[in-house]
Amino acid sequence: MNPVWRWFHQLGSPPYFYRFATRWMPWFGLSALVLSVIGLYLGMAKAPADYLQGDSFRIIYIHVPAAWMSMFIYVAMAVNGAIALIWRIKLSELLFLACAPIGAMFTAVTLITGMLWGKPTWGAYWVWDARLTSELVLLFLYFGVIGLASAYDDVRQGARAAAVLGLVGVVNVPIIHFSVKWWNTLHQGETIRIMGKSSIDSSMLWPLLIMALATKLYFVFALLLRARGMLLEQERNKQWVREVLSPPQIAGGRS
Amino acid sequence: MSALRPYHALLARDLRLAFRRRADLLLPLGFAVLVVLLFGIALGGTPERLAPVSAPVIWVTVLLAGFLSLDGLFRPDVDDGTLDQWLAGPTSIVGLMYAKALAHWLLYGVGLTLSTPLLAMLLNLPAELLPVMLIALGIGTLGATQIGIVAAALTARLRRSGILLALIVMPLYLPLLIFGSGAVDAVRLGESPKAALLLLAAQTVLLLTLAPPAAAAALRIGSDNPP
Amino acid sequence: MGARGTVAAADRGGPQLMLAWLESQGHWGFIHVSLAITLILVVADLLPPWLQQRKLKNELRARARREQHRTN
Repeated sequence: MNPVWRWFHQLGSPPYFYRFATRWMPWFGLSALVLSVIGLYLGMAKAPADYLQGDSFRIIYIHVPAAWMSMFIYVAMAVNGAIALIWRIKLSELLFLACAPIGAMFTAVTLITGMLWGKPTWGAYWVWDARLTSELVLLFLYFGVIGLASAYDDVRQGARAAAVLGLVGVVNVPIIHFSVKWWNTLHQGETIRIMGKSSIDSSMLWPLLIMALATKLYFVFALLLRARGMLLEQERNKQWVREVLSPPQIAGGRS
Repeated sequence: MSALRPYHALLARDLRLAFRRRADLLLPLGFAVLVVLLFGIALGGTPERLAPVSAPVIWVTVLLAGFLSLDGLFRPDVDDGTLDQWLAGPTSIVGLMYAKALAHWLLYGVGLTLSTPLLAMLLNLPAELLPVMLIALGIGTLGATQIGIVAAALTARLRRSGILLALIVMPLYLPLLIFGSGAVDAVRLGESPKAALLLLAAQTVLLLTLAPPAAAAALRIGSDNPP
Repeated sequence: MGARGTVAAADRGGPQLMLAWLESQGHWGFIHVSLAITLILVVADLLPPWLQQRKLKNELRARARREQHRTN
């Protein structure tokens, strides 16, 4: 456990995190890009068309990974928020704040692709099924966190207030999911099932798993990008920032 | 018994203040009747169109009306420094939150629930739905108050921004609305509302446990001893 | 649908025409729009922080250069 703790502690130091983020961002971004291209190619071109839905089902290769990420990021955000509240670690506050817009983006993608899938499949852009309704609520939960954090003039206070809200939200997310599902089965029955009872052929499954990995890598990339930017903004007057951005010129031209 | 004195005092003070400005007390009720008026007119005022939507309209109206009272929940205490005094003092903030929530629920939750027969009459709510409506609203508003104090605590030190409060509160109200209106629906369909009411009660109990500590933590943000 | 459909569509104006066109493109139309919108949202997610950092870095570098000139 010790080396891991030590690494976390190091990460909390702003210059170390800056260097860490700058170094690793390209790798995460590139691998996310490559995997997305592979996954989407396999999903769009190589996987066989669904016998019930035809080609429109291919949208799940965006829709489902985005939905998974929208929920995963909310939990990750809440965990960072809890760490920020309990241990007052500044880096956790930044990571918490950075999670929110990324999560909101994935939620928006889930909703829009869900609607674009729904139209050719069930004839309507919007259906009040459990998943879409829950995602819509999740979008507002994200907006609440973003809105509350930005309403505070003090960034750190805003992050802590939003972290409390995030924790309240994360406890409620399973309840909201359950209640929406309960409501849905009462009113509409189990007629609409996004994944369907048909077992998934492996050629259909691989692109999904690849996209799931790709979105996670993208998340880390975007998280590092945003957190680094916020860190730079907060620490703008510090000496280490000066040294990192314009390395001191030593006589003789060595730098 | 004296250990409960500060909480009694806060409860009594809030209730007394509310009754002093009696007009403010009637504000949520007035708003509720206004909303019902709008719906009545928009739906043409005929029982055939009103009765099917009467229960959902009452639910949404009560939630919106209760939400209206949230903005001013902690603001006066922030503004005149009472809040910082509490935070610096020996009394448990969480206990004070329970007292505050109780005051709010008595004034607005119970008040709106008791006004339901009036709203029901305006909307032609089928008579057999009224008992379950009252029970569900009573429990539901208790839960809604908990959500409200957390949201009010989080925004207490901010400039007035009603839409942010709505944004925070509405998604969290959703399960209460679902189980509450689900209970009424069950009776409408001739089934037992027990499952829905139990789920509603469970949600409210969970909120009663989690919300006051969360509100207490929220109030400490921006003060001298942050959580 | 015929002539009556197209007249009605023209009456409803811009967004309806777009949707009608989209729906006539078949399944792949929806897939392509999904890909396009996803790409737009990803760019919208990445662009603001990237631009903010670029601007901040330029600002700070300019400030450091000014300070160096002053001390020289």
